[in-house]
Amino acid sequence: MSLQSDDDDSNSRSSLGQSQEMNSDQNGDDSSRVNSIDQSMEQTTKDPIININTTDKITIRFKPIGSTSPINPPIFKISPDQTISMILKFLCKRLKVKFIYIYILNSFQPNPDEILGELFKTFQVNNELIINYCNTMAFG
Amino acid sequence: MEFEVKDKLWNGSINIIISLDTDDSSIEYLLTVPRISYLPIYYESIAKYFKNFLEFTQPFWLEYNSIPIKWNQPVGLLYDHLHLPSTINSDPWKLDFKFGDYPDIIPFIYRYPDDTINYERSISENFFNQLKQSSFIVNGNSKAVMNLSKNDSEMLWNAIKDHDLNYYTTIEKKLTSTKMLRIPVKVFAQGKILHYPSDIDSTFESITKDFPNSQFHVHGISLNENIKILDLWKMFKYLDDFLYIVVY
Repeated sequence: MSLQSDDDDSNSRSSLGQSQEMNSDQNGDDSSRVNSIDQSMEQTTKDPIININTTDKITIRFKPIGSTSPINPPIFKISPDQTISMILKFLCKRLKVKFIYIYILNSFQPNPDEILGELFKTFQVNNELIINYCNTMAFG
Repeated sequence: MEFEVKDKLWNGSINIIISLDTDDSSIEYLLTVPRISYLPIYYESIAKYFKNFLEFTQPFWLEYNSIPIKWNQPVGLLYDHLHLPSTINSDPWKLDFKFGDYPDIIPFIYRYPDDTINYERSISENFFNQLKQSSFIVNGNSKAVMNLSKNDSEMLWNAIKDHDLNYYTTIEKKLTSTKMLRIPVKVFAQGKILHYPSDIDSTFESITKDFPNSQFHVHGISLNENIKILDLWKMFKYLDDFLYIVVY
């Protein structure tokens, strides 16, 4: 599986997430309308680095693989200090599953201790970190 | 020169004592592990040995100075960022065998049909994901790794497990990129893993400038010179094709 499959749904992607995307491009005023995982995660994570300035946050986009349920809306703003571990906890809680496989750019599974800001630095596409998720192993 | 260094890196190893405290004594298991290898490859033998003395729940884990070992990292890297900066200068490296409430490190999810934990499968899956990650940085996609035949993937993993340089080199050739986009580099600093995907012509200084008054280690070797990162990577990359730089 490669980036090709990503290109296929890029049209639906821009129409689906357009309003969110515009939101996330504006800093400040409209930020209340942008999803914040940090807030929804407050109960489940004990990480002290939770509330930092919205302008410093990075954008992640969740994309389900196969028949796995979509998350609507799929775009979230998140503190760059958070780790993949927190994303795993969030998805499991949100999708009400015990285990979830996640992939960066439909390609590799990141380790739980990888820092989101660092992954963003290396693997961002159009200022978003694309996180694919699946309830079964997608790419062996 | 290059061959000599490659050979030294392939064969460089660390002596480890793993100790298990029981009620009345401490039992030790000794092993020598190549720096480029991974601890879970040895987990089954370790478990088998300690089972002679004590019943314990699995998965177990290893600790250094009460810090659970992240089993997914190469042994040499763990040694360099956990043990090298410490003032205790002991050889062999002393680790503790622990079991019970599994700590916040990667869980072992793969199991054998009889439901016992498959430590080796867990580390091989993790290794291939790291390899895909580095391949993505080098090529802009992970096709080189994903297109490896099942046979080649197995051969690559077995070469790592059995520490067979000939087999490893055979498969490594199939993964070698003719046109590199970026160099996969990760920096270990203050307990964090930082990404430094580097341009082909960038120098070591492009990384060191971010860490004033620090020491830089690659494969346990202290580095100060301002060399090209590409040369460093070619010589010192680990088996997952990442160049790991330890800063303290």
